Amino acid sequence: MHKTVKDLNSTDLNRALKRGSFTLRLGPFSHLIKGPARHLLPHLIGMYPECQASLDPDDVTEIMLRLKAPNVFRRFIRPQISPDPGFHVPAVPLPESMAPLGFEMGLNLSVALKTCRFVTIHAGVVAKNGSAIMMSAASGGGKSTLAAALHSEGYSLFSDEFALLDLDSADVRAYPRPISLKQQSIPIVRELLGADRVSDVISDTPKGDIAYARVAAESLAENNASAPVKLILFPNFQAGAQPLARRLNPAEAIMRLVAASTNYSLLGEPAYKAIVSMVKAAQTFEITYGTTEQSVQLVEQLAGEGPS
Amino acid sequence: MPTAEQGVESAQAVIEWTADPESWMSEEFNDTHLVFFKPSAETHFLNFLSFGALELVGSSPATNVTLWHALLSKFALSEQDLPLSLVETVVQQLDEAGLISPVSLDAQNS
Amino acid sequence: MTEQPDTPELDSEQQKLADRRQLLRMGAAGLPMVLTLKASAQQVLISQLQCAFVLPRRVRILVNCNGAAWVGNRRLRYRNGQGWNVADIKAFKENADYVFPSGTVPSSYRPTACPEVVCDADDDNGGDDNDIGSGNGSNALSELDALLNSPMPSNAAEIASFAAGNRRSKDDDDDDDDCDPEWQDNGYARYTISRNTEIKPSDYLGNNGGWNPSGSKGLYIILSLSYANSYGNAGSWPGISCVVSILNYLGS
Repeated sequence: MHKTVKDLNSTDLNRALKRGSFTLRLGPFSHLIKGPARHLLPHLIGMYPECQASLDPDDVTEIMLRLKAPNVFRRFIRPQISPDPGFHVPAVPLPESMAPLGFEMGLNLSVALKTCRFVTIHAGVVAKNGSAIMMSAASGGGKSTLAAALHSEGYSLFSDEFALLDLDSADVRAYPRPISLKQQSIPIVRELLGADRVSDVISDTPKGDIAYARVAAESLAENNASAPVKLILFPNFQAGAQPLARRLNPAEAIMRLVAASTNYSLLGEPAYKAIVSMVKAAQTFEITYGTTEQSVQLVEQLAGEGPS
Repeated sequence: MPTAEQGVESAQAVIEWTADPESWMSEEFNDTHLVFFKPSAETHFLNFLSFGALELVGSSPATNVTLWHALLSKFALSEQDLPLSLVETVVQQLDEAGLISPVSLDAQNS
Repeated sequence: MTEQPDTPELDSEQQKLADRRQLLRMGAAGLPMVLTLKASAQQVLISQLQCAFVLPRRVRILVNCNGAAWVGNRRLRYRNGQGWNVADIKAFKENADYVFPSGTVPSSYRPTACPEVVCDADDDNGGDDNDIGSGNGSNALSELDALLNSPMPSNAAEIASFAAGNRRSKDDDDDDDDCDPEWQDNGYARYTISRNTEIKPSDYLGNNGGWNPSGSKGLYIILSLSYANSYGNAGSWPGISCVVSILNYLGS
């Protein structure tokens, strides 16, 4: 029986992080983490309390992430960290206080570039009643806010960043990491989920002001959940816009999903088959909305959950 | 005596194009065809005309002109609807995408 | 009584052929016929050229004889033989969501006659009202809308398009010329497009990249172009980003 992060003794956890033996199990992945405990520990305890974890690796770990100083001087003088996922990435060193950002970015890079078991699509995914809704948008397109809003309405959060599409079943797998919030979305999500679910704001990062929102314990309980996708949405937030849904030709939806996938070209034929299979079984829409409330109403309408 | 340019034009006019139907997988969505081309592992987005051209060339080699006639017949279009120049454009785009290739001279001679 | 069944196969085949011809015209105009899936600006452009939008609610367009237009969703009652309800016209214009100046709408969409106030007597008339979209302005179709819609295919977009001046012949007036100042043939044409109608602007593109609008949806395109000229992509005119993306593609 694995313990959860909150069950672990913080001194032991601190030591395991420094030693690089801390193992976090989330969704289909096991992550081996090493990093500066002073800033990383509060993030892990605050954002991943219900996640299964261990202080020593007892199985194969698929993702290995180290947050390390870019050079020896930066371990001591104005300490900095860089995410090292085990392969070269052009990451800008960050002040050590931004370790949570380095950690989340590092995990994203690992999933995006190293995963071969799933088609990874840059998209948020929520699920309810055994069916999933995928939301694919460019960075800043409002998918995290929309995912948070739907999560606040009782949808399980599978991910706000990556849809993990199973190559055989074409179902999506849950990977419920914290919701990544930027700038204006922070107060909105604080309002939606409650201030206690949102981390302190990390200011002046390369992405501006950022914060993270903890997913509900129920979503983490469905850690290994998977679901078929019934609705694929391409959200587009435009301040003041009237809510609007446009049905997309499935071929156009596939074109957009391929562009949003980080490993489609790498996987080739199995990825093509999985995406085609998913899209054929789903409805595809581009949606435009001017407020978060509108977006939830629109999605529920399209999902057949709300009044039409 | 024909110029080099005329020679190239004349050669282009008689080029036969071919494709291997086993090399692609396709799905149709509302008259739009998604084609996964196995040799390049690339995915292409073809409309009814370019996919029709690919299928015809895949079933038997064709020049631009024979392909044009086959497309007019296949889709019940008039020459006004579908000018030869558009078929030439389609062939060029299919060639650039690697989906079709010219029949080799050896094959033509044999 | 059984209704004459529609022939959806024929309609859909005809539609398919029309779509194909349209695509060939776009191909002749330079639209690529083969796309390779890579994230590229060109794909975005192509996608935008093929964009469509769905009207989130019913749209009514009122056009006067000078080509000015008012766009809104309020009711507009029309009574055979007497004309439009003056109060409705006034309220519609005062509460219009969008107003377009004279000259915006081409003559083919304008009423044949300009306003004529011929009424000077009070009248206790008992004629039937065509209460178009009566009630609270909900999305339910009025009886007239439904009637006008019935011969069309089930997915037909345009509900009704009629011009008061055109529809009202002299013959219709013969027995009901009693005037009521509330009901006057004041020379307006009204067009209605139902909620959830999909409009694909590229359907109205001609061979040379010009516009060939027709029907109520064509009028909506005309107004969209006028809106785009004034406001570009800003504001909340439904579908404006789609229209502007096409204008950008065409280099207009």
